[in-house]
Amino acid sequence: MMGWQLDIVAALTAWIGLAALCFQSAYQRQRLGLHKQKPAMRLAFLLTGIMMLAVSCQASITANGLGFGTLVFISQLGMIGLLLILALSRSAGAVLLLTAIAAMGVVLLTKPMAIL
Amino acid sequence: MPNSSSIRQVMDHLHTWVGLFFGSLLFLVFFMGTLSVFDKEIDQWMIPSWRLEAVDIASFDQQAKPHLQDLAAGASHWAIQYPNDREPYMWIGWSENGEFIKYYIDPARGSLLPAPNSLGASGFFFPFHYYFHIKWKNVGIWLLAITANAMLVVLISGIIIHRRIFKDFFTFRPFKHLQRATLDLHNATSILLLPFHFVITFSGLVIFLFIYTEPGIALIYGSEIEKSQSEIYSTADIDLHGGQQELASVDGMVAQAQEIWGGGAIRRINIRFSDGGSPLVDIQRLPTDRIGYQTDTLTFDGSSGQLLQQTVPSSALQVQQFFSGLHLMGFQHWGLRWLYFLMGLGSCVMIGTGFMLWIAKRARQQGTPTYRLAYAVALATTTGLAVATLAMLCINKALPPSGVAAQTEVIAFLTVWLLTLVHPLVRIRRPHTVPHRAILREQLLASAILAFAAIALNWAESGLPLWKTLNAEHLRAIGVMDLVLAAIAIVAGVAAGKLNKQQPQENR
Repeated sequence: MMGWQLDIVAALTAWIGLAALCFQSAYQRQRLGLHKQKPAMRLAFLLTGIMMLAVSCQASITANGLGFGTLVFISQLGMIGLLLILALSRSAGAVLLLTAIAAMGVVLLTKPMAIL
Repeated sequence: MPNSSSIRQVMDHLHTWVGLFFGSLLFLVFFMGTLSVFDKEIDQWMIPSWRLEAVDIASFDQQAKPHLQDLAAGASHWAIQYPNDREPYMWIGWSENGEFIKYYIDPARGSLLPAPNSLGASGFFFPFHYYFHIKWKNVGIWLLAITANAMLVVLISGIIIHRRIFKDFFTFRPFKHLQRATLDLHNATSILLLPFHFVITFSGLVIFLFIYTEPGIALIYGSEIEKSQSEIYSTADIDLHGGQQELASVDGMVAQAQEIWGGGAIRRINIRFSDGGSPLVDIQRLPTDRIGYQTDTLTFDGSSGQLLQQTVPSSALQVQQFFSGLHLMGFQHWGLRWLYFLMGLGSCVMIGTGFMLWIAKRARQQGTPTYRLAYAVALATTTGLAVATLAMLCINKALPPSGVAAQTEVIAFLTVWLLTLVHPLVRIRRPHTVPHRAILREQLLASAILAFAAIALNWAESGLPLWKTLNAEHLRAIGVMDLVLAAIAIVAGVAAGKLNKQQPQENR
């Protein structure tokens, strides 16, 4: 995989991770008018979010090296978080759609079937 | 013992008043710092003679030495900056009667470039960022230290007073009333960019570590203050008395340096001449491949080309260089450069919304002189600063090249900045008849108009429309700058339009 592809994967997984963390928050769900979650579902969202952020960090480090990779990860996390809250304030549905598109983008870029 | 709520109240007061008192300086530092992220690119936009095609190899012997021998034969010290990806020109410099003289060279042709006729971003915005153009006794740098410490106080007190820091992590309610939306935006930019705010503030302090610790160093080393420098850089004094005075090929020394470093670009060469001795040639590496601003330096005997010394930074210096690199971004990473720029804008939003909150909470006191002054200062140092900067860019393009063009730009900047202070003072004279959102809207509209005017004037002056600049590699920075100006114009215009539509709520 090329460096720029990994950079995109890092950004997309960061978006998915932050969106998952957002959707597990009871406070956010109430604000967005979503139904209540079962504890297991909440835990699944939480773990998905954390795992996606870990994948994002790893992709960023692989693309840019340890020093630059960590710096890129932290910086883009803040900016993507800001983008996410701006998008959420407009439409939670749009965030869901963008998250699905991001997931598809990650699949297309990483081609997990080829690894298997 | 005070309970947690009283601690929060104390911190709330601290956050409000330190923020208000230092907010103007903080916004100035962050705004100028954000512009400085792309200072070399703005330089090229402002100074057409610096729009050069990149060269693969620059030569001291062929391009710099003939000019230095012509112009500065008697100087005791020559400095030469090599071209790089962001600065395609080479410059030569020396001291004369206490003044540093600088000439720019086109490295492809070896010819001198015309005088820039502008301070550019690296000569005006960047110094404004770190010493406010106050050189006297390092007062500007000390003022920056006080401002940076105030920022740390504001950040820490902000965390303590924020009870629902995790709950509010993704909260932004733009459709609630203006004060609530402003608070949400203030919180979101503060929390999500907290690592950036901390690191950039702390690293900004560390850059000038050796200036801030000067009194302590003087106390320890007394009259042997120079010894501290050689200990920091692990260097020894070199005495080449009695050697040949003729300068050998510096290009040969550059090749040796690159072999030692295993490649790597050259940042700067310093040549020191002494009476009756060989010249000393210091060759500095450009640290584009690492975070730390490690400008490794090799010292050569200028007459024989023999390597005399390699600087080995002390551990204290290495730490300082790491934090300096984090702040100064000597590295070559465009993604990170854009992220720094956007995060810098985020910091400006955080400080600006902090000001707006203070104003909105005290809108009932519109008639009091303290309120009027605080409001005028807040507006002048936020939107006013943007208006003044855009006006400076317009003047840069509108003025014909002349010896006083650089001064005129600075005067225009300061005049417009002063006008943005006078504007709210005059308009708010009659309380309740002119809501403060109207004044903000006027300044935003001025920003939008000036940003569009800057693009138009640049096209008219250079004859280079967007499609041409974006297609040519060496002109791409100009095209991107035009696009950023267009984005500023649209955002400012839309914000002004939104303020126009919303019902006034400040008196509720």
